Amino acid sequence: MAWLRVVLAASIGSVLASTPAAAVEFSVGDGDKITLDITESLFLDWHFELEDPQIVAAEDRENVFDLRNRLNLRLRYDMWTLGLRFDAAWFPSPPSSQYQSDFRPEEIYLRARLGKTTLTLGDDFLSLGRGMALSLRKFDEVGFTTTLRGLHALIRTGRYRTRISAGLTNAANVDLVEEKFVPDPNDLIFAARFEGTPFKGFKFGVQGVDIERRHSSLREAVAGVVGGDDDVDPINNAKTDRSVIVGGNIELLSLADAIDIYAEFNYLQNFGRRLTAAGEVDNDSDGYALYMSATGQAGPLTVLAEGKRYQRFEVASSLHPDTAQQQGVTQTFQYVTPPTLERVDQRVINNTNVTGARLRLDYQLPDSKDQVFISGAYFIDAPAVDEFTLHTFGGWERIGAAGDRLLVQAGYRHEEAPDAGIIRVRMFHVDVDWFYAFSEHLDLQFHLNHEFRSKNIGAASLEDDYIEGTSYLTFNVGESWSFTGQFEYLTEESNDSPLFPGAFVQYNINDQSFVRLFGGRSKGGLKCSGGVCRVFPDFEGIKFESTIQF
Amino acid sequence: MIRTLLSVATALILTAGCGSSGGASSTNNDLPDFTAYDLDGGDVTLSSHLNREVVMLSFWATYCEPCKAEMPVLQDLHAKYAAQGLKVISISLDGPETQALVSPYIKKHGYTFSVVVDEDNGISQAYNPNASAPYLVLIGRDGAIKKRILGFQSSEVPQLERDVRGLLGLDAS
Repeated sequence: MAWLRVVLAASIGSVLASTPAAAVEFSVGDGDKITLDITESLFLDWHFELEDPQIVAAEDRENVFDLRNRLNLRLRYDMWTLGLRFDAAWFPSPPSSQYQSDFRPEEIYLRARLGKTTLTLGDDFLSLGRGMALSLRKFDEVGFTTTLRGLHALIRTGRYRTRISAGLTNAANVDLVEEKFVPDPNDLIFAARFEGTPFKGFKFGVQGVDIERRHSSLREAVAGVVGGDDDVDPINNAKTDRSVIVGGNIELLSLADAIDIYAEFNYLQNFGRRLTAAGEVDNDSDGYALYMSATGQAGPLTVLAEGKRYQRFEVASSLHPDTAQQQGVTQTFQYVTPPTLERVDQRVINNTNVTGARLRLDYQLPDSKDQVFISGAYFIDAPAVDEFTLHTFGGWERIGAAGDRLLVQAGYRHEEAPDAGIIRVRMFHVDVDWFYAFSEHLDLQFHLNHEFRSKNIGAASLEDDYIEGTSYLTFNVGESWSFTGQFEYLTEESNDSPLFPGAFVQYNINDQSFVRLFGGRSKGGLKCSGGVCRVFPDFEGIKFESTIQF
Repeated sequence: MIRTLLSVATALILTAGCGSSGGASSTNNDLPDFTAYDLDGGDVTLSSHLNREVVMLSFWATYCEPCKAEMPVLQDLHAKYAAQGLKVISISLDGPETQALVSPYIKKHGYTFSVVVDEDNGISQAYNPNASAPYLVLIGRDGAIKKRILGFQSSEVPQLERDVRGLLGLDAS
């Protein structure tokens, strides 16, 4: 049982490594030193039955083991930082070719801080404005992490800041959600942003992004140099060349000491070709995104108003033809994340062709820290063209002493296609979060999300009423132990096993390192974070996780 | 190959544990610096506070409920100990899609510590590689990291205050 030896070695290493918070330091003479920071994360899953409909044979889905590991190393010396992240995946018996044992340096960067200039060679995250022109970020909630591997410069001069980046997009190849191997998009991106605060209370920024896609001659030349792949047979006879985004934002802060205003506009132009019997024809398109927000405060009342209009504003990675056609992996990566104006975990099907607004009011109750709030949002062409979505919710937030907190909220969501006479989604939801300390060294955390859902009302054969929810109760005992019971359910007609019970035990080795064990079932389905959504598989089995930091 | 990798990683971890400069005795004057916009458009620069004050970096997000439970505790510590040399820097991990919610949340609760948004994950990359929230980093007056706390437990608030008082040189009992 080689895998067991590996786990035990890692676990013993974890437990023995229970030292206080400190980096590792090496003296290099004359009082200089090199500092090494380490973050090591290990994930081990034992799927009693792997949820993957692409695997037909039941025996191939049973008792699937996998191990994934992330080792972050950061070496610092004077103005220099060298960052490395090694990712590994191991399947003793891969259930299909989509699951691959792999080891690779996933992120590498060398950073120099030269006064007000920071230069980075290698992987870096990049987000411009409100993420509408470019947003390459860590998105662990939905298993996406994308960096730009190349050259980055950040230059500060007084009230102004310039950022220039160029490189190839590098995605985390070992997918933490589906556990399949995903190839790098390798799109070539040039990006620049200039922003500043010319005077107090006024900020502005302008930006430009050029994405050289799979079939651009420049990208092909660069990808060829770095060992990129060829694309002999384009998918759907479409060749994608470039996407260019230009835009800017202004921000007015503390108007009349009470109001903040933000506005951003970006224009998108896509260049491509389509292969026809008569030869190649241009396949260009354009789009734009406008977003505005205003925040105001008057005594106990806080107001947030937001509006968006996005038209044909979709900027994602190119589909990798080899894996898409040969292995059925069709995962692409979002390069932009425009504000959704929705709850962060809301299932937002369309955030590329939509117009909408949100208004939220918070009111602080007299002689208290407690707040009540109400939020309402309305979207046109959502979830699809000529449809609409309405979502309103409200609640009460109670702030107690020393970390005690209670949040209770409830709401209603309605998605309708009036021309078709169908209500696509009708949902009532209740959410509770409660944090309470019984005494020093004993507290609880409770979370409840319950949804009454109906879908496809008016389309008799597709209509379904069901409930869906997640709840957990955690007891923290001292600084070291946490015990969690979790219960999820989904009674949707297509789901033949509606209950998902599970339990966690977590041991905190020290204040920065822990090991955690989960046993049971957890619910999959479409999960979203900030408008980035993907389908998670259900899980049934045992998970082990550890994170150790120095 | 994986076994080799993990053996090396485990060995490295064990070596690191043995060679660690450890806890309060360590000194470290070259922590990664950062400059970020606060909610009023001003700059917050870490190095302006290192080696002068006890610095508390608190990573949070508007969608993180435990983080919101922790924030009144941070405000309480800020109110009590800012004059004694505690600098609280709250670092929002909110992405562009939820960034608009940061300022209203801070203002409606009347929190007065510094709040910045980690727009490019640059601060996380330096101090919180897994981008966890809540995640707290306590830096002593000697510029060395003294404690990192993953997650929030309301029952451990008294211990956190004792840690802060100890770093400030106040009676920690």
